[in-house]
Amino acid sequence: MTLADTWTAALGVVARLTGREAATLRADDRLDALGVDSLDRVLLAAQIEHRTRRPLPDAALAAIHTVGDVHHHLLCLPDRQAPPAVGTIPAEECA
Amino acid sequence: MSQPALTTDVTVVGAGILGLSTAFELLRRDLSVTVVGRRDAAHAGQASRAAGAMLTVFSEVEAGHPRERAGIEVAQRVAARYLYDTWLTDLSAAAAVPLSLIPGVWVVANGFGADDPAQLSAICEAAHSHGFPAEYGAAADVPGLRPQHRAFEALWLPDEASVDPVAVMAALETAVARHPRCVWVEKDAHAVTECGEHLVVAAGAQEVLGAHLVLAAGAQSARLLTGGLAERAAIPPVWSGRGVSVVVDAPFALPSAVRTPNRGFACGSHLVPRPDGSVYLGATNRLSTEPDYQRGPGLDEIATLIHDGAAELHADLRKATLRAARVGHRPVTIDHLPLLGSTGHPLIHLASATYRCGVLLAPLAANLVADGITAPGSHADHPYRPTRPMPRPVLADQLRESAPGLVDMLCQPGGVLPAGTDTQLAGVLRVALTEIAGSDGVGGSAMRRLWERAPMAEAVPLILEAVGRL
Repeated sequence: MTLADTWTAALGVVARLTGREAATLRADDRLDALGVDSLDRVLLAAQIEHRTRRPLPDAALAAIHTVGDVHHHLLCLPDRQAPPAVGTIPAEECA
Repeated sequence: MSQPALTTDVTVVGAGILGLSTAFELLRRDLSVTVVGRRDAAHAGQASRAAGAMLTVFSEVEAGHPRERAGIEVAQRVAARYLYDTWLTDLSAAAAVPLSLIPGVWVVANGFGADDPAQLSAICEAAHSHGFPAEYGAAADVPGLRPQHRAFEALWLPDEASVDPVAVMAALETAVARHPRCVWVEKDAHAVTECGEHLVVAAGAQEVLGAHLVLAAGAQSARLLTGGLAERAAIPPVWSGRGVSVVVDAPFALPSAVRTPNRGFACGSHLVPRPDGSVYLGATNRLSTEPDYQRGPGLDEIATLIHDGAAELHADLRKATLRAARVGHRPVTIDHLPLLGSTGHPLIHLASATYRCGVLLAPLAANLVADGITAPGSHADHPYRPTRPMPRPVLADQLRESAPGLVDMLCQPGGVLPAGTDTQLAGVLRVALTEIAGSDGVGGSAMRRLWERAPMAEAVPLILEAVGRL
């Protein structure tokens, strides 16, 4: 999956949760400002787990604040680590 | 910049009714006490001031509750009720303000609960078995009851009562704050550590070193413990039941509290008279695993209150004038019983999880927690000890049990389904939710996460809503 694909996926996840157009979302948009409540966050966690096939503990979920953070998690990256330059993510990283 | 540390016999974290009643009791036992908690006018999210404060010894008994749980709860509530009059007199004297109870509670039955007559019968039986009066009366004779939809039966509990929790809290604040052995740090605690033989509470730039620590900060209590203290204290998980209530000027007289039996996942509707002539209408209940104490009452929550109150208690509520709307986060744990007394750490004590009964239980809770400090081990087998084992309910069992309550909740009082379809709908909900819970899709994952966080009946409405949002 390419970086662009995971970005699109992140936008799709947040757009579905918030009912907003994906095209209007930016990486630094805060989820709480978009109206994401604690129940939405549970659904967010479930979608991230479903896509990455990795468990997302509550502590990691609590550290997700922005649309960009959602993207990072879909890339299977630890919190607050910058995503790699645009390119292909090795398949094993998301296995 | 940090300030010189305070030292004290006991630090009490939390300035709700449990924290302050415990501080009041500890001061009476000649200990020095430092209270850590906000003392501003807003008290956002505090359950104590948002409470209806009916002293519900029997009227929250449910026919469907396990016999053992009901027996334990009623016995402890009876014990608390016996303490109450003297406690209120002592508090009134210490604060030099008058405090009084408004006697009696009516519990009314109508067609909206699953089986209101059975609930009234269970309440009546519980009262009689403890030697308390309970008398059936005609719904038409209940003062302050004129619902949109007819009530057909009523039970009068003359020894239950209500109190103004705002007045009680003001008296507790005065009595505690004016005591020469009390210091009040008017900040939120943010961490607890251990230093030698002391427990250190950090609140802003202030540190408080106490020989004992009482945590009475609701669902936040265990989250304050750091550096391995949480593991030693082993406090069971505590969440909050977010409840919205209003105080109104009502266009009708209400001499005593009037309520329905418990409903679905909440405590039903209740109207409670206040000494100044206003009327309290409560209360919603929504489980909150990540409580936001600053979030104010939602219009949807207030609309639900008014809808249910008008349908079941008094149609003229719609003509009332709003004085105030409050949010309270009532602390609750898995088995729904309070957590009172010493934890796994002998110097850390807990006063929490009283759920909808904190105002009644306050004097009893204060005694239990204070005994844990002045007479360690004296309540080692108490059913409310924080070290008791907690059950792990199974989601499928809970869905089977809760499905009819979900239908009641969705219909709201006044909503009528054709005969038999409520059972059908409950069956469909049970099967559908059980199927989704067992699936490996997003819905199943979300349901299991919610259930792992809070395995209790009150999580089922959240589960339904989560699935509905997918």
